[in-house]
Amino acid sequence: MYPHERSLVERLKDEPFALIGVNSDKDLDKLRPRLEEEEITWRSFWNGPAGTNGPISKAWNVSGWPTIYILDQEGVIRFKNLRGEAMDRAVDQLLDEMER
Amino acid sequence: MMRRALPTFLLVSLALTAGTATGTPAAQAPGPGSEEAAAAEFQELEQAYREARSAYRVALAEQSATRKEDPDAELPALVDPDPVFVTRFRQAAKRHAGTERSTGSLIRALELSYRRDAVVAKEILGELLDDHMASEKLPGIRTTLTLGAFYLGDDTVREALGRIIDESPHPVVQAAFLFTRGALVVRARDSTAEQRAAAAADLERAIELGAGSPYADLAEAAKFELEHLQVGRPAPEIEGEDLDGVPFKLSDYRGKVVVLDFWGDW
Repeated sequence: MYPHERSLVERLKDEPFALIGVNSDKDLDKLRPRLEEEEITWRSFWNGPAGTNGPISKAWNVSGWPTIYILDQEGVIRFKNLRGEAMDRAVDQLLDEMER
Repeated sequence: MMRRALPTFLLVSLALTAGTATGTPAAQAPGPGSEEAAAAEFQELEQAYREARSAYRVALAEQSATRKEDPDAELPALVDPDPVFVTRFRQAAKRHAGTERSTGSLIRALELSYRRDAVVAKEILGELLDDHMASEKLPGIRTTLTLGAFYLGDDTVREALGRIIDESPHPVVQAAFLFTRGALVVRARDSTAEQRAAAAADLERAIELGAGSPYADLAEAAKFELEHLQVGRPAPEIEGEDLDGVPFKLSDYRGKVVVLDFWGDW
């Protein structure tokens, strides 16, 4: 998971693109060293001390991890749960739309 | 080795003495048909199943290790314990018919059979629907029905859901299955407008009938997903703090393409 996200963030660092996480780890002190180890540089909301039962994942009815939504520049949901290359293609398609 | 046999013998004799000392004659033991008797038998059966399952896993791992070292090794065929226990759970359910545990035991048989033997699983499902419709334990098959659609067929699953929703005497059980039926559409990759409307109606009924139960909350969340978290809908706002405690909003990123990734480091 992480390597793919890292390369997406790296490849699109000069584009109008952001990877935003919603992190559901309960213990941030344990997570912090992992952020460095895995070079997780993108910004995340924290789902709070209840972990996967936290308020954000609850509001979004998330029951499986990872769950991925892709939003366009207007904040409209355009794709749900694409992974890997399909996710990259969807992002590229939305970036193309913006240039037109 | 000799020394290890002795304590076992001692323990058995101690247990026998204890039984006599507390004066529990067999006549006072709970008879068949009682919840206590059913509970005791199912506990034992569950324990036996777990042991058989774990022994089977260990044996599989050993064979796979042996095969790695010697691809031509002649190894005995291992017997998966599940089918035997499907039968045993069904028999126990029959022996204790009328108890809540009986329903539980049949549900267990369904769980152990649906991936491997759709014919047997459908039989068990039929027994549950015909003989256990009044049980409040029925929601225990929800996961199996959801996961089992692939093995049992969509029609079988739809029919079972429909029957329980129509025939269960318990509003909470009806709510559980209304939620399950609605959630199938919410989570489907593709759905028609008609299916989504039916799902919305199911979820609304689940919220009403399940008021005060977890199914009402689950249905509420599923309804929100159905209405707001679909392709083409504006993403709901998220206001929160990042991992350094700095507040920010999802809408701060308007103007950019955003991959929103619910993740955890586990």
